[in-house]
Amino acid sequence: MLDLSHVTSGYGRTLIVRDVSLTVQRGEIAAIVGRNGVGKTTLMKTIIGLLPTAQGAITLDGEEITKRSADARARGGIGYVPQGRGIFPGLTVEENLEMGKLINRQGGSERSLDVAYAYFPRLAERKTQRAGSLSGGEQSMLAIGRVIVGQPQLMLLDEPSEGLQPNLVQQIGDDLKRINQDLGTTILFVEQNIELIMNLAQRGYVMDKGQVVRQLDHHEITNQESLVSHLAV
Amino acid sequence: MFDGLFNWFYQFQVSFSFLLLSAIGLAVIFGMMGVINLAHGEFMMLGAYATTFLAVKGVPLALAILIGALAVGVFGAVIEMLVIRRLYGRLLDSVAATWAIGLILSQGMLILTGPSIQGVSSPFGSFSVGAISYSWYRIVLGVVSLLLIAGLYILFMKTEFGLRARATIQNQPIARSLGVDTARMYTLTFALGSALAGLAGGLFAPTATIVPFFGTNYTVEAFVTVIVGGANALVGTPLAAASLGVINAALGTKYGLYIARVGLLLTTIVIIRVLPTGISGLVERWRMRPARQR
Repeated sequence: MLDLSHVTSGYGRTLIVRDVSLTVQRGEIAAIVGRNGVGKTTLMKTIIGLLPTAQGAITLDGEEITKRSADARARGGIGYVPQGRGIFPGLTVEENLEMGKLINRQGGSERSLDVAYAYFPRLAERKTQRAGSLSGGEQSMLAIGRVIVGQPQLMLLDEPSEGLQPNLVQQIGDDLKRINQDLGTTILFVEQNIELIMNLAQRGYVMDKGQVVRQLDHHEITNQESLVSHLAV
Repeated sequence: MFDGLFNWFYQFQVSFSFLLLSAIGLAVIFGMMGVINLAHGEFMMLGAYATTFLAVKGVPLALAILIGALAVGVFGAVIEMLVIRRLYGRLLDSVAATWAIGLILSQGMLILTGPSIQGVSSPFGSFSVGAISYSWYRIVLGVVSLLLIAGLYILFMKTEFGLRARATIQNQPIARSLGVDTARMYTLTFALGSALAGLAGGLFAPTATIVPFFGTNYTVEAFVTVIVGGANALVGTPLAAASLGVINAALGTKYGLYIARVGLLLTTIVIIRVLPTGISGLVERWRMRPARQR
């Protein structure tokens, strides 16, 4: 479904991600793991189009999207949950969810906020509340709920566990698995939290110094010792 | 007693409507895009000229004002695509560029049409309360300014365009990553702000002499109102226009226009000192407080 071929990118002339190639199959949950500062977030921003691709090609469902703008990629079916959640604090919960309706517009699926409320009932209770006044866990639910309103083909998540209590990390992992199974949404996520990686990922890639240095199969990515060795400083 | 009260209220609503109408276009562009449009006064001038040309040719005044506003809106969209778009995030560069555009427009109009053109007279006539005569048209301007704020509220709070615009202001990259064509949003917003400037110019045309430097008469008040109001145009600009309108009317009726203007500027200095984010910043902080503290 998603193919990256020898992708190099960064901020201006400073290249962070170098010669990365990876593939995500339709319907799977794949993880990108690695220590702080190895280029995981830069890679996610490159895939969604917030950073330009200096070299290489990005393909979604066989169609090259390398030169497309971020908004065109979103309308083409990619949903992005950024690091730090990226909610609009001054908008209400309902308005934040409404913003997800443009995602996958070319897919033509029905867009209703009910899909977000079904997975995260607490958002329905708080729909008239300003998003900036939500707790960290509720903000994570909102960021994910906003994306699934558009029912994207591919969901990118950048450290969804960041700033969450352990019980909420488990819950978010379970919710994402349900979304993957029920809606058929392909998921690619960046993470450092070992519990969430083991709970959610079916396979993965290890990044170091801006490059993919290893692929992890299902056995390796659900093995705590293996993960610790890749995430240890 | 009644005559005095009415006179004060009349002066207040005239001040309010002139401040609001002259500032709202500037406030929309600054609040939504972070661009300080120093050509704002010249955009008002274009609206005044377009309205006057059409009205003199026999087009009904209301229609002439609307066509003038629309024309300035289209002109603003072109300016955004040709110049402003390349200067986002470069505040000083955009200030210099819009200043240059303003100079070109005012000097260009001077060359094209001379030092002044034939104006249109103020419609609707006048009425008297006590010994003082008042203009109906200036009452109409007050009503129009209230309708305009209501219209902008509906546009920004109740429509998809408004939701996307507010999201873009809060976090442009995230709005893009959710499918919003933010470049188009900026063009539309600049066009809207320009059209509002043109509308103000058209509405003020029957009340003033039409000269190429028409806009400079309103620019200081417009900037003062935007600064006092803060970044949120919908909340800040009406409240700033009302607050400054009270000062202007109170001082103007008692001590004259010169003292009123001094009072306006002194009030602005005090408000900036006490509320650096303007009135809308204060309202925003109050709204973001947890419910139990309200």
